[in-house]
Amino acid sequence: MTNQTPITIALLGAPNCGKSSLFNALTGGKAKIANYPGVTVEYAVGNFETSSGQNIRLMDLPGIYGDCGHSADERVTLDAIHGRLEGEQVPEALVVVMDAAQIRTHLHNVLQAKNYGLPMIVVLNMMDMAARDGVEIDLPQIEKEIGVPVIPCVAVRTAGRQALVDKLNHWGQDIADGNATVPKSDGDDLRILQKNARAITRANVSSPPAHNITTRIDNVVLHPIAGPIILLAILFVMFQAVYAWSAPFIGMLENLTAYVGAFVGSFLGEGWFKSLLVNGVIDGVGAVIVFLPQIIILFMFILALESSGYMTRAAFLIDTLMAKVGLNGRAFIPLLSSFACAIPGIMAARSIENERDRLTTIMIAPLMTCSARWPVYFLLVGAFIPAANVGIFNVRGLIMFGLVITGIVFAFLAAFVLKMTLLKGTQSSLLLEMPSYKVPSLKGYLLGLWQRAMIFIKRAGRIILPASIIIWFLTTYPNNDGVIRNSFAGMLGRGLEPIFAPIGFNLEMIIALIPAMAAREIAVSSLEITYGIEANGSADAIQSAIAMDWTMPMGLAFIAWFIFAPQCFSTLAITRKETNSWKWPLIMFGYLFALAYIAAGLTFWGANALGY
Amino acid sequence: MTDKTNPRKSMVTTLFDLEVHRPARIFGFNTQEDSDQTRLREIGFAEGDLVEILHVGLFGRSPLNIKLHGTAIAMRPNEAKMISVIPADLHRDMEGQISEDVCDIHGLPTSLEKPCCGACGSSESGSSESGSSENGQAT
Repeated sequence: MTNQTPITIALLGAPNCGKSSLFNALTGGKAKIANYPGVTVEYAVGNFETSSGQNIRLMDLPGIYGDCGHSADERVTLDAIHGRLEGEQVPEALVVVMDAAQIRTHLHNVLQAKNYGLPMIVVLNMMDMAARDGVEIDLPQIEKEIGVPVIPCVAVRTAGRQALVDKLNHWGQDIADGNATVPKSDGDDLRILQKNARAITRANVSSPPAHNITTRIDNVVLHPIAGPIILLAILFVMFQAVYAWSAPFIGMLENLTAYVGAFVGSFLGEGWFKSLLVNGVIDGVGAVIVFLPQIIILFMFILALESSGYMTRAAFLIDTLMAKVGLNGRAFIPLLSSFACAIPGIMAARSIENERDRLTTIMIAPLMTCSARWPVYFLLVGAFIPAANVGIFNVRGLIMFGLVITGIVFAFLAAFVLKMTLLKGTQSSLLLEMPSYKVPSLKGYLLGLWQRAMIFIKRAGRIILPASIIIWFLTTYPNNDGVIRNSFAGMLGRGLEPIFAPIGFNLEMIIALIPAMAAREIAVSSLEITYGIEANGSADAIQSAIAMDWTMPMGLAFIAWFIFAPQCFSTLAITRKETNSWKWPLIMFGYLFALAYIAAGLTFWGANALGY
Repeated sequence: MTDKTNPRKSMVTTLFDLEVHRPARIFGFNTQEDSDQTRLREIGFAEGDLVEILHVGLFGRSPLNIKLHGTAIAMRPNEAKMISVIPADLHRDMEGQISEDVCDIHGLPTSLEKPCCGACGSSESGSSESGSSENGQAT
């Protein structure tokens, strides 16, 4: 049955209409889903088979409003449809997805899609939401008037996809046989298309005048005074919860790591192999893995905010500030993505059409506190900040909140400076659709959380494990005498000491900075390994080890360094790729290094002067 | 000068200058660049559409949250200034009745630079609808 050549069908539609949800549901793909426009900025391909045995390659594309290709992500979509993507052919057909609640605003995009000269069907997604809001749609009549089959759909439910699955069953066959109908173009004058679209919706879609829970929520959430307070309160609670809820789990994982280390160690005689396994692998990887509970709690909040639709409201609330420093309103979403990791963030900047605005956004994205920095913060804050409470607030939670905010403040300052100097000129723009609020499906939510946790764990396997082994080797040999200064890593560190000693960094800290280029959280593994070797294999309490070895000013300086932490190869590499030049990654490294150095230095000298 | 003597033109304001929660109909676009107008159209704004300012930021009406049909779109002041509107309560047809049909804007004695030509239900629109149903039969 499956020996047929697959046909390629592309998913087209406005941003946030549910293309990626549909893609994931049909192909079992893992494209990122959230309730705000501009989540998808790159195409993805997945396969599935209809019950009639037709193999379909489904192509998920970034959402577009028109056919002009204003921004880079829109151009990805247009390139895909016109067969200009490298290694991809022209798709054989289009599935145009439209939010059923938004027919009035988006139908002209569907009419426009008829110009691509490909067989197409329209999928009216989120029919359940439209029905909830009391929207009534005369489907057969619309289908007749636009001249394209219209399929109602609820992408996130199996039953809701049934009509589409049935349609694809025979339509897929038609496409493969070359019998699918190509719709007739309505011309490409946008005004006329809008006019036609309005006439069609006026006749066939009735929506009650003022539904809208969303507006009622927004009246509170976007209130000029209450809105910002709510936003701050949400962030505040998030940081408190990261500490308050994770403590028992962290303790369990720490004990587990120590236990596994001791257990494995007990089977092995003293020697290099035991040292490698216990000091290198188990301690190095374990040092980071213990922070998994905090990462999960953090993403519990972030995913809830992303899938509910609140994130665009946050964008609205801080837009005044963004406009003041010359940032494009669209920069919000790339910057938001950068809290997970700067790499998708920098890619998401593609949705910004003005090149200078896009570059500015890319340059400041690494100042958002990426999830790789969290383990470093957790370790250092845990070692140097007492677990006390101020009133009802956990002090460590407050400090974390402060560190994240400091990153944001410096990002805005950096944007301001860039817009005044290298990247002058602003096309002030926001134009952001505010999606309706949605209660995320539990399944989708848990799946998202699972994916985030797996990313964290896989990084431990793919990056931290090999890095730990290398660090173990470099800090153990050539002498294997437990004296870091005499090891390979120590020699390298000594070379850098003249640079970092003035800002209070000791040899272990300097050594930690270098492998952190591969991933920032490796700094944690590196400290664990070096102190473990120095303590001859018993550094199960890395936090107390560094708390004893470092002075308070040293610890604070190291924390300050990691707010800026210029060292991340992957970020520099993606910047190189997305800007297509060496200039911007070099400037990025240079300015972040300078800021990190100055911040660490000022913290160190300041804290010393204050007598800490 | 002629603009001031034109009573209808005086009803035209920009979306930015509209009172919050006062519904208005889009009259046209006053954009410097064609691409700006295209972007506004692509995201869904068209002549005759009913719009309303739902929310504004704390300072200088920046940003604005605009209701457009069943959706809401956030924009900055410069973007709101590109959209000219007539408050719905002033938007009357030739008989002086409050009109929901933007086509009546065509009844304006226009010395207006960019007269409304968009989504109206006039005879012109009727012909395009029949054009659509032709497509329907074609498939």
